[in-house]
Amino acid sequence: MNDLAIPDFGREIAALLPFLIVAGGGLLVMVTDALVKTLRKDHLSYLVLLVLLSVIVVQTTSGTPEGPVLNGLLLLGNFSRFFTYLFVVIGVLTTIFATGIFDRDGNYRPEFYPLLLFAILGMMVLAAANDLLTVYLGLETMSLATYVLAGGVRGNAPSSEAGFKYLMLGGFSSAFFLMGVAFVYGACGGTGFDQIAAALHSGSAPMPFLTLGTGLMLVGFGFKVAMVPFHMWTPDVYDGAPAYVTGFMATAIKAAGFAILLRFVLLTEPMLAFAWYPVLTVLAVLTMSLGNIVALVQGNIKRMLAWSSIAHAGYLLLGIVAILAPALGGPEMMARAKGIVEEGGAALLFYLVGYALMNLAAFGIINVMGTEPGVDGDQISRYAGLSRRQPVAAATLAVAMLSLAGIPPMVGFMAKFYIFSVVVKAGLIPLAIIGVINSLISVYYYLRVIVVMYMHDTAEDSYQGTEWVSVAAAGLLAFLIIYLGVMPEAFHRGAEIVFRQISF
Amino acid sequence: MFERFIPVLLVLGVAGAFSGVFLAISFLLGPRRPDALKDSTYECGIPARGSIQIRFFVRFFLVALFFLLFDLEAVFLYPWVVLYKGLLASGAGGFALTEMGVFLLVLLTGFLYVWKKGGLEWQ
Amino acid sequence: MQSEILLRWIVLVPLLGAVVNGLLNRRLAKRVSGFIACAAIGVSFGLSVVVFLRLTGMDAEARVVNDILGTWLQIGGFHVDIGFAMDPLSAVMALVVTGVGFLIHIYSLGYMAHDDGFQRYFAYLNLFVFAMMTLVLGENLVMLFVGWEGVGLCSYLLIGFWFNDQANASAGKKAFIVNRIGDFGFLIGLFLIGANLLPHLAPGEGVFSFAILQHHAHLLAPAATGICLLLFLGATGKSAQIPLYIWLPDAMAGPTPVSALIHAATMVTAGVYMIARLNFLFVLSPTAMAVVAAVGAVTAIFAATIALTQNDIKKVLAYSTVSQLGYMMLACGVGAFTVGIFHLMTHAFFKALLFLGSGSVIHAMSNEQDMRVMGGLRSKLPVTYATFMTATLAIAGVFPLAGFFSKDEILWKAWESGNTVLWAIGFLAAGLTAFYMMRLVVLTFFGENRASSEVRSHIHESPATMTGPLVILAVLSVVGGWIGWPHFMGGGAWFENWLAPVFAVGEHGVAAHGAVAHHAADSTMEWTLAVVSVLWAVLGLILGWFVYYRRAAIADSFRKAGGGFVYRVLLNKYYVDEAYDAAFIRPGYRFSRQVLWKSVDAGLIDGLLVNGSALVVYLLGSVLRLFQNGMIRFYAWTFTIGVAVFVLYLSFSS
Repeated sequence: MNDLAIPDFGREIAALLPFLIVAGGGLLVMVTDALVKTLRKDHLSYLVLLVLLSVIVVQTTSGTPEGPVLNGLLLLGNFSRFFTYLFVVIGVLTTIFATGIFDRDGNYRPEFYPLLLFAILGMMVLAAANDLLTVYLGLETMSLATYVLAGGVRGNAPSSEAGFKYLMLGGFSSAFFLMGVAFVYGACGGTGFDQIAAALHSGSAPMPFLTLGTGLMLVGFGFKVAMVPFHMWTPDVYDGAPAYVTGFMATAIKAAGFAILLRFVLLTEPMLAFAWYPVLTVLAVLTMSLGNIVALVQGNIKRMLAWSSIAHAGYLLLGIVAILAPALGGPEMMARAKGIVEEGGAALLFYLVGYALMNLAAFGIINVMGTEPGVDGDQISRYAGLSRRQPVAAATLAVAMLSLAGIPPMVGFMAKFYIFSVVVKAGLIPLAIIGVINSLISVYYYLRVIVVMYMHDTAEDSYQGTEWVSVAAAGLLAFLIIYLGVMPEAFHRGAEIVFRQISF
Repeated sequence: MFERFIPVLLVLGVAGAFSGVFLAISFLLGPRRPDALKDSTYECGIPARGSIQIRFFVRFFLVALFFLLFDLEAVFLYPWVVLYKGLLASGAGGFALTEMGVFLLVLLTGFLYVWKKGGLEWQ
Repeated sequence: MQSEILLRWIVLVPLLGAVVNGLLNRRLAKRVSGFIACAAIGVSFGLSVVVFLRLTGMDAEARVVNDILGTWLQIGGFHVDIGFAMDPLSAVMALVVTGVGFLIHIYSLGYMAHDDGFQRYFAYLNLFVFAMMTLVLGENLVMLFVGWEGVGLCSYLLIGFWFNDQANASAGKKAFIVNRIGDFGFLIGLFLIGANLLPHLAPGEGVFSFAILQHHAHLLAPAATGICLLLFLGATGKSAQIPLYIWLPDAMAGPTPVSALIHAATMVTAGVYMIARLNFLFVLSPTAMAVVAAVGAVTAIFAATIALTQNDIKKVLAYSTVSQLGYMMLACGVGAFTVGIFHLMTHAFFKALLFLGSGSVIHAMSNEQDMRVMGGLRSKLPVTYATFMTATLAIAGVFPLAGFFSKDEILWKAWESGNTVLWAIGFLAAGLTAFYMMRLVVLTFFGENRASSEVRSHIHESPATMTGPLVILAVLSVVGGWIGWPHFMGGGAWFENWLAPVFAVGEHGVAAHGAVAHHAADSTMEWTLAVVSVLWAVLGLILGWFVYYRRAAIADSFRKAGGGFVYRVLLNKYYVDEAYDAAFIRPGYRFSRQVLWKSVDAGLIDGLLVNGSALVVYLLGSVLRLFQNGMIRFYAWTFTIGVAVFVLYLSFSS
C-alpha cells in the first residue's frame, strides 16, 4: 500500500507549472466571472490571454524538468512542450476570434473562456500522457469542455444540435475506448506505458486481448481525429458550432488526437505493426478519399472545411502508415527504419502545425462573415466579391485555401511534400499516388471559394464592418503560411529534434 | 490462460440458468386472468393518467446533476482518510494533506460558481 | 558585381515590382505603376544580358553560373537548394522571356491605358515574369516545379482578369484545372525520380539538381520510360498538346498582351523547355521519345486544320500556337533539342508579334474580334499591317525570315530521323499554316471593311507605345533566325554551337542508343527539302490569297458543296469540347437533375460543370453525402458497424 514513491515536491511542481497555470487560470477566470459584477465584455479575454502568455513565458524561460513526473503518469519533454506551444497559440487565436464576435454580437458567453482553458489543459495532459489513465483523463477533460463549447450558443438550434450530437457520439466512443483500456490492462498487467512496453517486448501479453484492446483504443482516437468510419459527427458538429469553436476543434483537437495516436502507435509498434499496417492503410485511403469526394459537393463553407479536415486526417494517417512500414519490411528496410520513423514523425508534426495555421486563418475569416448576431455566414455564395469589399480578408482566405489545396509556395504544399516523400521513401508508391490524386481532387473545391471571392459579383455585405483585430490576426497567419512554405527547413529540423525524443 | 476464466463462466451460466428456470416456472404454473385494470400501467398504486412521455422541468436534471457531482466528489474523501494514517507514518502526510486541500479548493470553486451563477435557485 | 549575385536579382526584381504594384494598387498613379513594372522587367533583361555576355566569355564547356541562396529542404539524405543557374540553355530562355516580356510590358502601357485594373494588371504581369524566371533559372527540378505552378497561377489570374464576364472566369478555371491534371503527372514523375535515385546518392547531393541528375542519369534507366511519360503528361498540360490542349483556345479570354506573353511566347513553351532541360533523361527511353514526337506531330496538324476555319482572330492564333508547339515537341521527340529551342525562340518573336498585332487590330475595331466584320484595315493601320505581314511570312517559313530556319531545320531533322511519316505530317502542317495565316491577313487587312459605320469611324492606328514594340519584334522576326544559319547554306550555325554543351549528352545519346537511324549529313537532300518547303509555303500563301481575296466565292461554294461537312467539323474544333461534354458532363448533369435534384444545389452544378473530369467524382460525392443524413442513431450505427468490422478483422489477423 505504501509503495507509492513520495516524489520530490519541488521538482514536481516546477515540472507541472504550465499545467498548474492553465488549470488555476481556468478556475480564476471562472471565479472572476462569477464574483466580479463590473466586468466589461473583453476583460475576461485579457485574463485568458495573460494566462496563456504566462504559460509560454514559464515554459520558455524556466528550464522545466524533463522525464516522468507524478509517478510516471506524465512524461515531459520536447514532445509535450512542442504541443503545449501549439495548443497555447491556437488558444490565443481562438480567444481573439471569439472576443471579436462577442463584442459585435452581444451574444456574450463568459463561460467560453474557462472552458477553453480546460480544453487546452486536457490536450496538454493528452500530449504528455504516459499512462492509459492519464490518456483517458486528458481525453475526457478535453472532450467535456468542447462538447459545451460546440453547443454553447444559447437559443441557436444548430449549435445545440452540434453539442448534443458531439456529446452522444463522444460518449459512445469513450465507452469503446475505456473497454479497450480494460483489455490492455488485463493483457499487460498495468496501465503505464512503460509497463505496456515491457509486456510487449517480453511477449508475455496474450495476443487476442492485446489486439482487441488496442483496437478499441484506436477507435477512440479515430473518433477524435475524424477518421473514417468514425467521422460521421464531423460535418454536423463543425457546421453547427460557432466558427471560432470550429476552428479550435479542427486544429487543436486534431493535433492532440494525432499526438497521442503517434505515441500509441510507436508504443505498440513492435508487436502490433502487422495488425495496424493494413488497417491503417485502408482507413487512410478511405479517410482522404471520402473526405475529398464529399467536400466537392458542399455549398456551405464550414461543412466543406469539415470534410476537408477529414481528408487531411487521411493525409496525416499516411504519415503514420509510413512510420509503421519499416517494421514489416525485410532487413534492408530495417536498416533505413530509424531514418523513416524520424522523418515520418517530423513530417507529421510539421503537417499539424501547417494545418493549424491554414485552418485557423480560414475560420478566422469565416468567423467575421456573420449574417446576423449569432449566425455564421457559411454559404459560399456569401463570399462573392469579397475581394472588393474586404481585400485583406479575401486575400487571407485565398492564401488559406491555396495552402489547404497544397499549392506552392504555401506551407500546405511543403507539409504534403514531406509526408508524401516519407511515404515514397518507405516504398509505398501507390499510396503516394493515391494521396496526390486526392490533393488534385481537392483543388476543385478550394479553388471554388477563390473564384467566388475574386470573380463573382458582389453579394450583400455582412451585417457589420470588418472586425479588424480578427482579420489582422488571420492575416498574420497568412503571412506565416507563406513564410513557412518558403522557409520550412529550420522549422522542420526542429520538428525532427522534437520527435527524436519519443521515438526512443 | 483462459482456464482462469472458467469460474467466471460457471457463475454466469448458473446465474442465467437460475433466472431462466424461475421465469419459466412462474410462466408455466401461474394462473393468468387478464382484465383492463391489470393491463394498465402501474404507477405506485395511483390510477395512471396521461402519457408517460411527458417532459420534466429542466431544473430537475440540473439539481440531480449537482447532487451527483458533489456527492461523488465526497466519496473520494473515504479512501484518502483510510490511507492517511499510513501516509502520515511514512512522512508524506503534508503532501497528502495539501493534495486533498487542493482537491477541496477546486470543488469549492465549482460550488461558488454554481451558486453565483444562480444554478441553485428554483424559480 | 559577381555574376552569381546578379542571377538572383534577375529573378527577384520582377517580384519587387509585383509587390509594389500589388500592395499600393490604386494608390499609385497609372503612369508610376506602369513605369515601375516596365523598369523591373527592363532591369531583369539588362542583367540577363550582362550575365549572358559573361557566359560568352567563358570556355564552352564551363559555361554555367550558379547562385545558391541556401538549403531549402533537408530530410535525411534528401537535399534541395534554393538556387539559380544559368547555362547556355537557360540563358536563351532568360533573354527571350525578359526581352519579349519587356516589349510586351511597353505595349501594355498603351493597350491597358483605359482599364480600371491597370495596376492590378501590371502586378500580375510582373509576378508572372518572376515565376517564369524561377522556372527557367531554377537550379533544380523542384525550383522548376515551383515556377511551373507559379506561372500557372498567374495565367489563371490573368485569363480571368476581366472576371465580370462569367465566361472569362470559367475559362481561367478550366485552364487551371486542366493544368493540374498535367501537374499530377509531373509530381508523380518527380517522386519516382526521388525514389529511384535517393538510395544511390552521397549525403549532401541535391537529388533534383540538374547537374546531379545528369551525372546519375544512368541509374534511372530502368524507370526512365515511366518517369519520362509522366513528365511529358505535365508538358502536354502546360504546352497545350493533345489531349490537354483544350484550355489554350479558351484562355484567349484574357487581355491580348497576356495572350502574347503567356499563351504564345513564354509560359506555354515551359513544357518544351522542361523536356529539353531533361534531355539526358528522355533519351534513355526510346519509347518516351517516340511518344513525344508522335504527339507533337499529330498536335501540329490537328490544330492547324482547326485554325483553317476559325473566325475569331485570336482563336486562329491560339490554334496556330498549339500547332507550333507541336513542332517543338516533334523536334524534341526526334532528339533535335537544339532545334526545338531554336523554334521556341523564333516562334516567341513572330507569335508575340502576331498577337500584339491582332491586339492593335482589336483595339482599333473597338474590341471586335470577329474577322468576318473586319477587312480593309491595310490603309488605316499601316504599321500594324506591315509588321503583321512580316510575322505572317515568318511563320509561314519564307526565306530568309526567322521561321524558315527553325521550321525547316525541324522538318530536316524529322526526315533525317528516318521517320518519313513524321516529316510528311510536319510538311503538310507547314502548308496549312501558310494557308490559314494568309486567310487571316486577307480577311483582316484586305477587301472592303465590313464593320458598322459606327465602328468604322473610330478606326485609328495605335499609339507609339504599341507600334514601337511591333516594329522591334518585326525586326527580330526577320533577323532572329540568322543566328542559326545552317552549315549547308554556308552559315556558322552559331545557335547550335552555343547550345551544344547542354545537349551533348542528349543528342549524342540518341545516336548512340540507336533510337533513331542516323543518316550521314547529305547536303543535297537538305537543299532539296529546304527549297521544296519554301515553295510549299509560298504555294500555301498564294492559295490563301487566291481563295479568300481573288475568288472569295470558292470558299463559299466549297462550304456549300461536299466540303460542308468537313468545314463544320473543323469549325467546331473536331467537336472535342462537345465530346468531353457528352462523355462526362451531360450524362452527369441529367443524372443530377433527375435523381439528385432535391439534394444538390443547382448553382453548385453550374459552378462545377465546367470541370468535365470532376464529374464522376462529383456524382460520387453527391451520393455519398446522402449518408450524412443528420440522424444520430444512424451515425451511431455506422460507428458500431465500423467497430465490429475492425474488431473482427483484428481477431482474425492475430
